[in-house]
Amino acid sequence: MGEVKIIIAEESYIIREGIKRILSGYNNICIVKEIVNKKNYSAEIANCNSDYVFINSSFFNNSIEEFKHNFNNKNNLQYLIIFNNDVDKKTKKQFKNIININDSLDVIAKTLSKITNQSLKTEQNSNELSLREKEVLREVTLGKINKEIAEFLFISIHTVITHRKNITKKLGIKTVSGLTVYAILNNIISIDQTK
Amino acid sequence: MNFDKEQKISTLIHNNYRLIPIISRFGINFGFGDKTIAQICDENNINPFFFLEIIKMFYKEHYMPNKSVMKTFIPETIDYLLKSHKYYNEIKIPLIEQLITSLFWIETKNNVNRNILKKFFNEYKKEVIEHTANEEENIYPYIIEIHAQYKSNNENLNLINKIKSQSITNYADKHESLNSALLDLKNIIIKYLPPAINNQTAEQIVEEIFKLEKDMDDHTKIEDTILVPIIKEMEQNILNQNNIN
Ligand SMILES: [Fe+2]
Ligand SMILES: [Fe+2]
Repeated sequence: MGEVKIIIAEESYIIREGIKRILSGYNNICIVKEIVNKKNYSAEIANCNSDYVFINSSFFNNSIEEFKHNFNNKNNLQYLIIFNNDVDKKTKKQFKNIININDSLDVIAKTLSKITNQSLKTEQNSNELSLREKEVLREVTLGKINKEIAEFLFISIHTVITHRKNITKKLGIKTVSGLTVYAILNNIISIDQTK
Repeated sequence: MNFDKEQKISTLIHNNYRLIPIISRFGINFGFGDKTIAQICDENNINPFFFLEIIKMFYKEHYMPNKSVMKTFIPETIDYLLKSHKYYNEIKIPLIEQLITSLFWIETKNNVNRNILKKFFNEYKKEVIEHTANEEENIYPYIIEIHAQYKSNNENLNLINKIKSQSITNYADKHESLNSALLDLKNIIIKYLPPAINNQTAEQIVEEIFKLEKDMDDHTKIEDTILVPIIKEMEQNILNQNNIN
């Protein structure tokens, strides 16, 4: 799975921001909608194309019946229920995927990885340049402009620009001469090839 | 921290030692005992209000100097900026250059690592020289001219033509930060170069770069967010006085 689309239904601003903060640690997540009050929320969820819904149990008054009635698992959506502190254990047990607002980051991360079958990607394991990115980097450091690189590699200029952005983001190097240094150090080009 | 004229210079420095190059740019040298800002400024012919604005900007990351205060200190500001250029070009950059030259690695042929670093830094140095020379030869004199005209009221057709052809907006549009290359250099040394034998020197280089970056950021902030808007306003004012829109 590439991008994971998520709807957040939560009235509390603080909790919404907290969830977004946690999710920002993954780089293939896209928050497609935030629902901030209960009015028409089930229609809003149904009308929005997403993979997961993170929803506070207060939206369906902590009732499993009301939850089932409203969702009835249409569209293969997956739910993660957010529980405030005032909900009792027995109620929580009726739901499958849950987080409590005072769970630790560890517990939340485990829950997220369980329900998404590890499809969430974190920054760390993607900092390695891909083969394509190395090719683009090579051409950049040889002094070619985007148009020439696009023609040489049979890709669009737009794609070249995207690759360049990702290279800079991954390496933390922005200038062409900085990239050249990186390329020499990593044997992507030899020092004699630079002018 | 109190930022007022009665604050002791030594207290300022104890709170943030990185202030040292800033105050030396004002011609203030060590040995100031318990003198206050007011006393030191008086001795060195510095306007204490201007001094305080610069200090506050350096201390507080998001501090914006008061525009109407800064408006009255255009020549002082330019003088301060010129001194920082001198500090970059004559002290800091040569220092980093020299540190790079003294780095060494055990197993590389012909000192490849050092040579590519030197080459990279040399390009940066040239960029800084070009940037500062342009400001010193073209931009700052223009700013001084606008400021003088703003204060006088004589007709100056020559300057009006200049405003039309090389308004400060042109400079603002093209003005680039000199920091991208420094950021790259930091990452190259921290993340990508194999550790040097004299790794303390590498640490020192990185620390110097961090300091230079901060200094240059403040410098660029003065140019972009203080000088440019003030001069823009003065340009408009001069044009209006001459009934030109
Ligand atoms: Fe400058
Ligand atoms: Fe500048």
